[in-house]
Amino acid sequence: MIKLTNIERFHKNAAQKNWVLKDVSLEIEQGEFVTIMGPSGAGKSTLLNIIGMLDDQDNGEYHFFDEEVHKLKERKRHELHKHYMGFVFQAYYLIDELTVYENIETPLLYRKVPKAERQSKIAEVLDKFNMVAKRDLFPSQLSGGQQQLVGVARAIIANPKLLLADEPTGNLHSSQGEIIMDLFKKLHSEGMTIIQVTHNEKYAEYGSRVIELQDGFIKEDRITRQEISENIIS
Amino acid sequence: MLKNNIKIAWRHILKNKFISAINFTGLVVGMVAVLFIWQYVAYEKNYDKIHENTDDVYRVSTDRVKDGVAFMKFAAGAACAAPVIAKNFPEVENYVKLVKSGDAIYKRKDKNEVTYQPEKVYFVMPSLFDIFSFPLAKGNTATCLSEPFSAVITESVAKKMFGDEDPIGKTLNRNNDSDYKITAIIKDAPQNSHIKFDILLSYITYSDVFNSDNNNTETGPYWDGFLSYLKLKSQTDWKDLESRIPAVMERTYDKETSESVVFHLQPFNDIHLNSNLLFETEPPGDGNAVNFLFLIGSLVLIIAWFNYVNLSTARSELRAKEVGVRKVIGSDRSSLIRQFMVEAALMNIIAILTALLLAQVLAPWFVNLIDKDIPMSIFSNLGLLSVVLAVFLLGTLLTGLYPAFLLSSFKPIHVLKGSSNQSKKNRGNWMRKGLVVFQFIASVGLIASTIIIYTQLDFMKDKKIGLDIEQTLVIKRPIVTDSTFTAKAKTFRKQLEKLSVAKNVTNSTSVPGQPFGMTVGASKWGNDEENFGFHAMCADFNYADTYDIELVAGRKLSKEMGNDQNSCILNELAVDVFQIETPEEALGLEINFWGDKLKVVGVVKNFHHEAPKSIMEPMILRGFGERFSPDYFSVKLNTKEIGQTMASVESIWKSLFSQNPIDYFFLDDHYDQQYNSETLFGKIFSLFSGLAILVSCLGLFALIAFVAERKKKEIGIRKVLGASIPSIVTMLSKDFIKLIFIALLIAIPLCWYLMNNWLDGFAERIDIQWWYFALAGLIAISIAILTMSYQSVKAALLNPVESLKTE
Ligand SMILES: Nc1ncnc2c1ncn2[C@@H]1O[C@H](COP(=O)(O)OP(=O)(O)O)[C@@H](O)[C@H]1O
Ligand SMILES: [Mg+2]
Repeated sequence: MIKLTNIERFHKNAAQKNWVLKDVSLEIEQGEFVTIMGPSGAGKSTLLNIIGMLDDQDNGEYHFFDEEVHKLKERKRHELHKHYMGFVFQAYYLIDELTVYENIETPLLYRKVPKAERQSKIAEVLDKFNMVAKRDLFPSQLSGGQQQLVGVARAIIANPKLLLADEPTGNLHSSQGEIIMDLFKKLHSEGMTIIQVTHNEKYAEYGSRVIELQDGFIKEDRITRQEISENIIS
Repeated sequence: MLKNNIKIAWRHILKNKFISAINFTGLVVGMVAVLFIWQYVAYEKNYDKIHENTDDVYRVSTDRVKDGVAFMKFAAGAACAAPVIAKNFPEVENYVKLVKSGDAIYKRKDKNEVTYQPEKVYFVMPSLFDIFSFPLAKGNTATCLSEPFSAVITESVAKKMFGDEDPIGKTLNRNNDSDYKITAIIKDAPQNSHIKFDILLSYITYSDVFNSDNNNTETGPYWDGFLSYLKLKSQTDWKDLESRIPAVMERTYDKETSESVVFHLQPFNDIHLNSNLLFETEPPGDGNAVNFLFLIGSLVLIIAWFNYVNLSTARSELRAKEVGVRKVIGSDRSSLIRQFMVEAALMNIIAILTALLLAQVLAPWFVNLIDKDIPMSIFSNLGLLSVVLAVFLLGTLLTGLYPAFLLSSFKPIHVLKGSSNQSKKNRGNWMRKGLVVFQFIASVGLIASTIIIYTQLDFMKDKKIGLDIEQTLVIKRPIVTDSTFTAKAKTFRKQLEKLSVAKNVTNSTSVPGQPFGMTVGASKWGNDEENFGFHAMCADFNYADTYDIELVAGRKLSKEMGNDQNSCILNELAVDVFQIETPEEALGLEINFWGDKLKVVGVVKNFHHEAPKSIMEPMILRGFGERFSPDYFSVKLNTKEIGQTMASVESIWKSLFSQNPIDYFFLDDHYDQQYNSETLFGKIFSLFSGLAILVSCLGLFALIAFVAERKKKEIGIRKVLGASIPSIVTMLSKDFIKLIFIALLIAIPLCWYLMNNWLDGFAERIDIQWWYFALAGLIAISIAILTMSYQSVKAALLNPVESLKTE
């Protein structure tokens, strides 16, 4: 699904280049649940954003399915992004002026989904996330965990193939975090490809594979214990 | 999607109540200003538009020329103008002449007690109805003015004199001396038509009956007072035609006449705003003033639009997050632009609906202010509807586009990371500064202009006019008179003199503030070829004393010399016109005044018979001869107590002229009426300047509030570190003060240039002083500082613990 070859990213300073990503090569198959870990400033978010087509690499090749993303125009990349990706942020980034229902509805509006279909899809998601009673509340009226649930709901409502989550539990208490992670696990089991960034070892174990970044290099790329044990069982 | 856009826009408006209120107020004020000004401008620009097909209609104006210089220019010009031109140029399809008929009282023949004194009566040719489209109410326009002693009246005159009766066929008596049969009724012409009338009399009565002894009414080149309109064949090159008239005049008369009487064509549609000659049918409009007012009315709205742009871009950081999120969840740039445009549209539409309502409510007040009977039919006027639409569309584009493009250009990666990419965030900054500078240029310019306009008005009003017009009661002559009038006038004058409050009494054919009334081509006696043009009036011996006119040489007219029937006084300009070196040399000169031999007995200093906005003219003041009778009785009072005086004056009047109502005025008020249009201009100008300044201050108020909010944390830290309140206020406002100074530098030359142009329209004008601008700048800066200090002091006073906690 994703194939990164020798990806480089740097920021030019007055005098020198500050490397953020250096020679990152990576392949991710459809259906994987990948966790990116590493110290602060290692380039995790940058890598996630490049995969999510929000940021451009300076060098290297990026193949997404059959598309050569590194050769695509901005507009076309936006189309790919819109069609395939869902994003979850650490700070939720809900739109304050919109209700829960409307926040979840917005991606569907941008994809010109007919009204009846929108209604049924949102009803289904609200039900699945246990948020039916909250549908007409505004984000400021929700707890952090609830806001992030809305964030996830909004990310998946348009049936993306790939869910990208940058420290989705970073602002949450552990109990709330676990709810989100359980949700990810469920989505994964239903076939969703997920790439998440987290600092939490335990949450990393929800996934199938861990990529350890340091100073812009991939330091380690391993299968999780969870995955190993599942593989053994099967 | 649109519904969604509107919903979100509405929530944003509600959420940011403070900013929305400022935007809303500014827009409403600006739009009301534009609606009003537009009504006014449309009224002025649509002047005379009730007439269809006037593109080929021209008025013939007459210049009297001496040595190549036009010393008098008449709107109502020579008697021969239209007939001679029409006869010699096949391009002329038709023409009409109008001659004003003097003040008179009209009575119903069948009901003597019904009388009416119309303001405007003309003798008119029947072709009036072929050339212009005055709508007929009753009768036949083809025949109604073809017979002598026919009259056409307007609907309102018909109503006044005949009520519900049918006036057609009835007879009106004019001043007890002639009878006119009513042949048709015309609908009242709208206010904005320069040809206005109450009654029209058939021209043939004037030309073939009253002047049957001479046919100069159609051939006289030196007989003025005839309004002449030509209808040319379409596509005629009128300038070319105009240039060929002198040759025709030379052929018809002689070389001298062709050089001293010069005709010009005035396109009919230009007359109201662009013609200001002698004997206009009404005080002309001022095209310049109309343009000026249109400009500043629009300025108020533009400033309000700029507020919107400023406040939207200033808040862009707050909206950036939303933009980023929307882009990540699939929005493309165009739907974001649409969202911001919808927000601007919604604000504009709410504002314009409110403005329409408010304009409707305030319309009577505005009509009253400008003192013009403009129909303020806001909801029925199609033209206005298109203005509303234009204001809405233009407003939405102007206020929406820039913020929309700026905001939608944010890259999600930059805004969501929260990393401060300063250069991107501040992209709106330059624009914002530019707009603030513009607003202050406008404010400073408007304040300075207001100062200059009022200084000029005061200057004109205080100007030594060379006349004493204070405490002067002026009584107009009775309208209906008979052969006993001259004797009665003498009696009246005597009785006025006897009043204890009367210091001086004089009779004259004109008074200050009125046109001279006579224009005369006079020459040195015995040298008839050298003919010069003068304004002239008759007055008795007491005129110069009553009005305190300063004598330069010789003597005043005198009672002892039998009222000096054959003497005259010149002003210094007239002495120059006769090409005489000194006033003393002019004494004893004999001049030919319409065949009378007059001796110059004195020379007076030039004085402003008409207001100093127009230039002083060469003048001959002559004693009353046989053929003249007084039109005005002036009484100089030695008291301000006039209540008792008026009662006695009225009782004297009743005993002599019982048939006539008394008509009088106080001269200083009357004289000041000449400044009505300038005073009105000043009033409207200062009103809209005030609004413009108010709206820009609103914007500034909000901007500084926004800056204070953003720097809340910095202010808190500084205070903890020991910063004083004044230093914080300075910190917050110094950027804006800098902008104001830049604005000042640009505003001064701009305003200087424009106001200099305006002042050039006056014969006597002030010079622009540097301190006008200093004062304007000071006022602008004071207002700005006052506006800012509220917000910045509020921010500075905030408890630092409070402001730091909230982060
Ligand atoms: N616009 C930028 N200019 C300069 N350096 C940047 C910019 N954006 C990110 N960086 C740097 O790139 C590095 C990687 O950032 P990021 O990918 O956010 O790290 P992580 O998510 O692993 O904490 C950091 O050292 C950061 O300082
Ligand atoms: Mg990060």
